[in-house]
Amino acid sequence: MPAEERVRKVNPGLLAHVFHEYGCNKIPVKLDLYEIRNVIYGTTVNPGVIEMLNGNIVEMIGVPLLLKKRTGMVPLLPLGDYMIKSCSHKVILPDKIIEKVLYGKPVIVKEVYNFRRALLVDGYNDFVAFVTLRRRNRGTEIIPVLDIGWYLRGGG
Amino acid sequence: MSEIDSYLKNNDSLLYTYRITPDIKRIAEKYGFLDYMVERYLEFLGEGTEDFLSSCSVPLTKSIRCNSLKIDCGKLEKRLTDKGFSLKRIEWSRFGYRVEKVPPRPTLGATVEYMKGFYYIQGEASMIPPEVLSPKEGELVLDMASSPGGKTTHMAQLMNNRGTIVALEKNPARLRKIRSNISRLGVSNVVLLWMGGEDVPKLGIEFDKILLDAPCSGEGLIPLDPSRKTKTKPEDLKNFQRTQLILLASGFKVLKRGGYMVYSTCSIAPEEDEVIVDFAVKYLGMRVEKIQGIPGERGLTSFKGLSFSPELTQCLRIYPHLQHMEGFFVCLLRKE
Repeated sequence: MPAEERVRKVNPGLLAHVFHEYGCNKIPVKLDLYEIRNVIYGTTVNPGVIEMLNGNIVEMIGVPLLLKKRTGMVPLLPLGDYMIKSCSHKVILPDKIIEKVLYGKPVIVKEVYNFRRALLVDGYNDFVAFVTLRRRNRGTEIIPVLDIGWYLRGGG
Repeated sequence: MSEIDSYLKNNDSLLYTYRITPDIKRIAEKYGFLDYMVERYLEFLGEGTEDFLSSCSVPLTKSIRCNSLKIDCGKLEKRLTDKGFSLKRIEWSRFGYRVEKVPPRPTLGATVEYMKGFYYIQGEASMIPPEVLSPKEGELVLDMASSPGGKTTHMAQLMNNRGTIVALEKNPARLRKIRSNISRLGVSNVVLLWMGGEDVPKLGIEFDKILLDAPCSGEGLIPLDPSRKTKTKPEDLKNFQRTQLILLASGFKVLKRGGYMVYSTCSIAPEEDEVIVDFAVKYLGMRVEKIQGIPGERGLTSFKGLSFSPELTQCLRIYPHLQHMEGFFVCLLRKE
């Protein structure tokens, strides 16, 4: 086993930029945040227990919310469920079209949106994917960045 | 020699000596099992042996656990019914459903509801150990062998994501699956450690409750995987037995006084079940607590000339031919 890696507590302010990009009016996550190997996790675990476990090989604490990259923070799937409640950049599509997105494929719709990054939601207002929007001649191309189909394709 | 070594040595000759008669050979050949397995079944299943053997060729009804952390179970029931599934509530379970009818498409593991983390596909019997341990909000719980995370996430659900579960997994190849399940199901109160359960005393933490769903031969999973009819040799059982005893003793060390431990396996082999729990009672001084409200047969009090503590009748044995679930063993232990 490799040498243990430290768990570091993270300030929730770190998420502000991501939430701003998706039109969130408040920070929608009421979890303690910790960083392990470039992933920010959100958790309800007792902080005292985390302190006691630090020094062991901690694989994850609660749900992964963000991936830290050189280019910035990338939101991860569990964060979508939290963001849906307080973010306005949403694209709602019918189930038939959403099925395509769940195979990781882009789709073109005739609507036009005034934002570049959005949460894709279905008819139940459930989070389905993080998407990027590109203006096209006859509407908008919706490009999945990370969708819940990942749990089948790459979840293990 | 350690207590575990001497315990194993004392029982070895009785447990692993077999008398294979022509009748046993005939039955084993008829159902495609190894001779020694049938010899054991005849001892603890008696006249029910052939019913058991034949039930191992009948597929079990699939089941799911609704994830109340993400959706109201009534709503999930309606959504899946609208898609052509037919669900029936499992009477003794808080979140379990039998899937009695499935549509041609989508499969149970490919619905949008599955991807959203609204349910987990889980064998009915494997929902029993978390229900028996019944962890509460705010408690500190240890899951000694977490993969693939079904019971871990079930406990998180019972705790309403409050309190803490420390989940251990030794095999790095299995961590990916647990990570995915914890993420998909939105479980926020689990710390996952890459660590073997035998090392848990090094953490220096005492737990309110412990789930030891021990690595085992999987002799209860034959209806799901027929290759297991001939897979496990007596030597394999010995190896599992040693691992199970080591894990049990480690878990005992970190359990608070008055705390509860569930010992379970997906095996009906007494070598991996009553023999292990009997060690907990006779060598560690643990008490067996009665399990209420869950269907099953009583634990054994003797096997191949060994006598177990009478308390072991309070353990549960689950069989496919009687309870129509995968074979399982569950015992609730208390540290005095």
